[in-house]
Amino acid sequence: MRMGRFLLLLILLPTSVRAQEGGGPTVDDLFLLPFRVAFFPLRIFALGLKEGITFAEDHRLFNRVHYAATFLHDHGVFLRPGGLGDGAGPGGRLDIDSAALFSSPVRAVLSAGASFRNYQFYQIGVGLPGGLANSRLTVFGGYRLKTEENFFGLGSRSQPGDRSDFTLEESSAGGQWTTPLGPLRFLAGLRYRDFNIRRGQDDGIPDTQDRFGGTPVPGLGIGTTFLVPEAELVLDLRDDPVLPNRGLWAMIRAENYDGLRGRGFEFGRFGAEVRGYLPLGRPRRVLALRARAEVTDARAPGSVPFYLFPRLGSHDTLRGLRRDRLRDLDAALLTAEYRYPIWRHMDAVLFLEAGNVYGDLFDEFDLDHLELSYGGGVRILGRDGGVMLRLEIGASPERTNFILKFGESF
Amino acid sequence: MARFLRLGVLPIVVWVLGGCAGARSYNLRPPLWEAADRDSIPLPQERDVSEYYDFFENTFLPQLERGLSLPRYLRRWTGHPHQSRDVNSLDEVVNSTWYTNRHYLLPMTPGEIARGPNTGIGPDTSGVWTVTRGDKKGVTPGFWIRDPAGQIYILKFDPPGYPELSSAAEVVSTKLFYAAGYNVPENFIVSFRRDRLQVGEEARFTTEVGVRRPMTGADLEGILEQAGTWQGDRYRALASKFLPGVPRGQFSYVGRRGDDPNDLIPHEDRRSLRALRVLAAWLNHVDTRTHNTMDMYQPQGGYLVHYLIDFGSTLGSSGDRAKFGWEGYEAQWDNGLILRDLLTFGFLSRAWDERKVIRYPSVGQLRWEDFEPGAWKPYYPNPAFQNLTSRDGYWGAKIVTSFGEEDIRAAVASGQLSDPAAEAYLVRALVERRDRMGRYWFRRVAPLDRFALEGDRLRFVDLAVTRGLESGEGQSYQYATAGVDPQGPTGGPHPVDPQVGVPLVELPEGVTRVDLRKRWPRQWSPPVRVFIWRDGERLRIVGITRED
Repeated sequence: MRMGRFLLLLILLPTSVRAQEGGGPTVDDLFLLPFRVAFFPLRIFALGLKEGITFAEDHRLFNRVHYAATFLHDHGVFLRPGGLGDGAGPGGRLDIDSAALFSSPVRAVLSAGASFRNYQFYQIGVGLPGGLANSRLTVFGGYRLKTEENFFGLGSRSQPGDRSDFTLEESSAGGQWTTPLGPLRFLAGLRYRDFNIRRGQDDGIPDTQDRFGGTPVPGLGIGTTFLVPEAELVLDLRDDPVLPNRGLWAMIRAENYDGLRGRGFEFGRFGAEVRGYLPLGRPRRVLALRARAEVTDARAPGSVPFYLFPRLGSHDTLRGLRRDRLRDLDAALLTAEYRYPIWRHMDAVLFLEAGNVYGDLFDEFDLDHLELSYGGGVRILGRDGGVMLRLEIGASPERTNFILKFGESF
Repeated sequence: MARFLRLGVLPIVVWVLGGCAGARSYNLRPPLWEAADRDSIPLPQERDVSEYYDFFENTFLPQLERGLSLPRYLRRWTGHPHQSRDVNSLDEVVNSTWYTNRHYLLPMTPGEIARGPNTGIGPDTSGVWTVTRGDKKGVTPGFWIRDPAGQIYILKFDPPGYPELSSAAEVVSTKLFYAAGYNVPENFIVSFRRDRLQVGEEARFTTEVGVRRPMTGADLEGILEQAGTWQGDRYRALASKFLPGVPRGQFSYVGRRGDDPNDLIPHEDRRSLRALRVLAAWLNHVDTRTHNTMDMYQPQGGYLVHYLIDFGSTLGSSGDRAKFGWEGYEAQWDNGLILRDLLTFGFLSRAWDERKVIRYPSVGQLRWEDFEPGAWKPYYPNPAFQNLTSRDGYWGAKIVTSFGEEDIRAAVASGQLSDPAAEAYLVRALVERRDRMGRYWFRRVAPLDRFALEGDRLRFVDLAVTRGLESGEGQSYQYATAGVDPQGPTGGPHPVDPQVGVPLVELPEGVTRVDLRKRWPRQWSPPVRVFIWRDGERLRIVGITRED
């Protein structure tokens, strides 16, 4: 009762700065009373914000944070939110780059990240001149832990109600050689990838083993190890790689997974992606288009573990579906985004996506059987002019997702 | 239905509008010219309004509430907005601790305008200046000095790449705000060599992270290096004299100060603060926020005096750089424009954002070609500005237009721009913006002013004509009369020539209202109502109201 009176008093009296400054309630105050009741949580938030900001200013926290960030940046330490992939939840990563510390043709980068969902990521990479002009050879090793990966079953007919989760652990090491050729960039590499699969850590949904244990899902409960030779060619004709207004970006990629551990796991993977950016009369008013396909060459039935199937459904692909909602051997995706500025540091976006997964893309692709996603949102731009944070709503016949993601979609 | 209206809606409307019913439009007592706000009060607490929270507080929730305030809309639509409360029966602002009538009512000479609030010539140059405090938190380098006379000044330097920019803007605006009637600090342009400075033994330095420690010579060198020299080995800076009294923190543009019993009028209802928007628009003072104000307690009288401070972001300067194209045209976070652009899918452009006119680095960006007085915006919404009525705007415009070209030239000269072409450009920008301001407001309220009784005639002037904003061709004036106390017959309308005046010979005893209107080729102005009291042979103007 006392608390109720206190809350009522809070609503009635200090709902405006003027009231706080000694002015009495006016006709306007009385008229606005219902709205102020409705906005009461906002007001409480604002009061908290006021105290917080005042404390921060009194203690120069903004200056200290800025100073600390500048100091760390100058010493090659980069702290940033996110960066652990979709589904990781709130988290951040830290990169230490030797290039900021001393000038040397050899560059070392140490990275680590973690999130509240216990996603983890550690990697060390060393880059050195690759022999040809501007070419680089990078060797790296790392570990990644994903504790709540989604699995709904294989194929486009999987059901949203079959959602389950698993933990995927990957250790990797390898080397990549890259060389620029004008607007082209060529990459060739070899990676050692070791996967282990464990129970998912989301208590709200069943574990994948429990849900799909009785069905033939390749790789379920089985760890695998691969040696993966890879090659990639990228053509970049964008005017600005940070926030493109016009231009084209295209990529083709081929990988071959040779199983070192696990029974008969062996397959090839081919991917292609094209992105086009059409300017619409004003800076940052752009129609961005993307087409993407992944095709798996399974050497035998069941030779691809389910966690390495192409996936759709994420903060970047079919944003109206749950994360990793669709998995199959092949996948195709078409995206159109209309981006336009609404503020100096903010763009709005409307998007439409269509895509699906297939047992065989070339046999089964059908424009009439594409999963659709649509939505919109705003994007906050960072100091470098690129997208720092996306706040989007993605919808599909299945569900609506609220998306908060660091970084550009494509 | 009619019964419902009578019993239900009408009382509500009356109740809502009742909140705006002002006092009687005339007063038989002599007009009030001095506010009683200098009573001795205990020393108020010092307050420090959060810079960031002030932005949030004024940008978001209050704007939402303002948008939902039906009574406010009703008052605006019915022509009954809350009028200012610091005005007298002649519709003029009363002298107070906030405002002093200066250039409009009591014209100042160009020399007086150039002198402004200054009581001296700046820091005493008979000896060294002792640095007493340095700070590395701001973007503009600066420190405090004590001159040989013991007076404290704050020295602020121009931003790198823009010599003379912010110091000139600050001094020029200081002079004009002072002449307009506001309390401002004494600001001086100074130039000096390094050997003029010495770090005091007690000097303190605050680092970027807020650590306070004794100031060293290296700290001073760091600040001077950041500032850069101006001409040869000399440094140019703005010296702002410490305000007299005891600092008590900023005043808010809304509400009253709870610990100041003299503060009786809500600040958003003060014309001196509402119409500051007009002056701020003229001088492009986009940074009119709480943080750039200061209440000073006067120990002798025991009351607070309210100052405007820090004019570094006026004219073409943004303090640490030249103004961007958007400054003055949109707020830092502009709810309305963002919503507009969001809902129109980016098809409406912000043309001003892409313009950049910096002809002289020492002037920065101060455009007049696309200056629209009604659309001008400060960095974030100012609650007093948002309460501006047409009457307030008119009052502000008549002050702005009271500055002739010679007056403006004198104020600009005090900025000591070394390039005569830059100085001429700044004068022209201010003249053009002044004229646009006048034309805007003098169309919303009849610009008939300076009412005076001469013999048996009421004379007046048309400010738009006398200030050269309109030629006078195709314009005419008319008046009508009505007995007010006692209620009497109405007369007119009759044509009237301002130079001849309204004949008052047949005015009856008591108070008569004379309604004056101006006719442009296609429209009539709203009336200016002048209340005249005949007491026997004696005539007196006892009230002026302007309709909008």
